[in-house]
Amino acid sequence: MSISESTARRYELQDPDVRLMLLVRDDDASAFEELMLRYQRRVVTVLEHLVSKRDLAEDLAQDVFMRVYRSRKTYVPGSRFSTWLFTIVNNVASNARRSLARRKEVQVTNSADQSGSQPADPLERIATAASGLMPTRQLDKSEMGSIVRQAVQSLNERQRMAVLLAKFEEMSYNDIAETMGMSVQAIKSLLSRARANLKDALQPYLQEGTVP
Amino acid sequence: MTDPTAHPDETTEVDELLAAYLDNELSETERSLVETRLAEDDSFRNRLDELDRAWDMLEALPKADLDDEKFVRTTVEMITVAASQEIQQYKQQQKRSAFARQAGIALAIVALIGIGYMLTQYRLSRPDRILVEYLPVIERVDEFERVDNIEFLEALRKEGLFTGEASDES
Repeated sequence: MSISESTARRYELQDPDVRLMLLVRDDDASAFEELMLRYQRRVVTVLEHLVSKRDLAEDLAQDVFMRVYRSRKTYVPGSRFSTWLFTIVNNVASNARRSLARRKEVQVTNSADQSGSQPADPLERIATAASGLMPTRQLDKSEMGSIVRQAVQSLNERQRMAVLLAKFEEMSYNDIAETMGMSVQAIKSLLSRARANLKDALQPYLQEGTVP
Repeated sequence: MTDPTAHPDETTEVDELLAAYLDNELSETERSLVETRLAEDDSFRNRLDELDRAWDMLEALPKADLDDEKFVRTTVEMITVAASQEIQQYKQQQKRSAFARQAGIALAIVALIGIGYMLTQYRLSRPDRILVEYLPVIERVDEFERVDNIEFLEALRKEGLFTGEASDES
């Protein structure tokens, strides 16, 4: 889709990161480093929650920035820079998940016998994650982090991406829709189901962060 | 708490409304309708509270702890390597297309030489055609040899005696 000059000009004026990206387009290496410094942690954080592996998340984040650099010459600002960037993140994560899924298909038969007494349902796992047999007590930060991480992992991929963009990137439904290539109405439903699922997963911990 | 026996569609609608309210995605009118209902409906308010608290718990998600300088350095290195590979590929491609262009020119020259050679050979290898062309003269060469007068032969030629040979006037 072509982007009109007035749209490009509007985003250039509104978004300082768009202006940095335009400098990158003109081969300004320091502008590219500045963009990386601004976004790398955010990109790695989102990718880590999407692919559940830290090392892989860092590799994918580098892939994202490489794609940004490679597409610099054709860059035309048609949205906020973060929306454009996280569209790339979404594509890279989708590709990575597909190849991970292919590998898991091979591994799943081997690991099925070794799962032991772990509950199959992720929500059930969350409920028993933090020492379920212990008396009620306050959760520490890392326990809470682990529980919330599992709750996020229990969401499907689209819900997870939408939640991460809404919560950590503070994106509007419009921007999330553009990033994920969906309609605004679809994002509205997606986020509402995601919130409900999170509430169900975290229900036992909602009372002031205690283990039941 | 939301009524668990409520129709699923109703719960979904309520959740969508509350999620959009929490995400600040409602119009002024919708927002004010939600706020009115929140003031009146305990289960509606409890549902909002639960959804909001679950959302707030996401703050506990661990954030990426990166060595910024190292990440930038390694990424820039990767890009530099990839860029130099691309330049290398581009140069090789340029070399290949230059070679293809030169080879094309050479082939065209060879083809032209070949065609020229073949045409020459064609003309040279057909002496019979010249003999056929001059057949009327050849047939009567003995008679002409006996004539010792070039003007007489010229006059014969002008009268069209030598069939197949164009006269000077024509």
